[in-house]
Amino acid sequence: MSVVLARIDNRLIHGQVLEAWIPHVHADYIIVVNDAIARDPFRKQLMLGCVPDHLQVKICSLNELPALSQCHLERRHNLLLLFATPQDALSAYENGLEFSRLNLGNMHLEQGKRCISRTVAIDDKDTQILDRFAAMGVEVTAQCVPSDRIRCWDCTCHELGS
Amino acid sequence: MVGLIITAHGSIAAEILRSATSIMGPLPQARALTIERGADVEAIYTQLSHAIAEVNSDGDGVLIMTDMFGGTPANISNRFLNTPGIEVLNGVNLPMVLKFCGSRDSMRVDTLADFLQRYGKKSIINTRDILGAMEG
Repeated sequence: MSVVLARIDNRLIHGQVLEAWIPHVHADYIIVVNDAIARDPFRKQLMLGCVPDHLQVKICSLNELPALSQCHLERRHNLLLLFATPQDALSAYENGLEFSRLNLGNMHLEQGKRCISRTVAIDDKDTQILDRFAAMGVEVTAQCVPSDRIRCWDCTCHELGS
Repeated sequence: MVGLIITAHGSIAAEILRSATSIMGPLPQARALTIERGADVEAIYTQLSHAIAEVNSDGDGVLIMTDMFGGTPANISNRFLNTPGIEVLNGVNLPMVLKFCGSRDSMRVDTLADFLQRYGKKSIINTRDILGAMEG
């Protein structure tokens, strides 16, 4: 398997992903790792319905990941992985869904978080997780859409560098 | 009277509604909801649920028009589809909104959604096809 994009995006499958990222990275298989949507048949059906027929898609909970890895991920696919939060990305990574780069797309601002870019807001817990990814050798970058400048996570000042 | 919500990326929802108003006159029970890049999805969900209640004051249902199936405005709107009287049409265009104005009093919301879907598709026209038909 080849992970062409691993992305944190709390909107999961939406316009930026479908119209900009998928053609840009030539993804042919989307994996959404999200407990809430995996367990809600209505929202799962809606999300699956957004994906054009020529793409494969799987929406799974964190618990379902190990089974998924065995069934699907051995085959030749260009995978696009979507997580709503850094915590989900870390859990998936620790469950064997590995990637060498992690893209920060949309992480909305809420109470207790601070903006580090126009579309990315983090708190202390997020900071720790991003540092941990960096320590494991995962390159953490922020880029909302492919035409945006890539900015790298800087573990020393916990900001996005140039 | 069926209520109307137009929701889209950036400011086009408000602008389509403004254009419709300038052509058809004041539009009661209609709201535009702008979804900015980076906005909190759950906050928008709450805003949309308030907007639905507002334009559905007489209980005749609400037609939500979004800019694109698969986009965030559509994805959030679709979550209201398990509420009776809510329909979602994706791919809004101005002719569709103008036709809505003239039909909202006389149709049920589900019939209106079907009708406007067909009307909106029919209103996408390559002018060369019209010229070709005239010449042919």
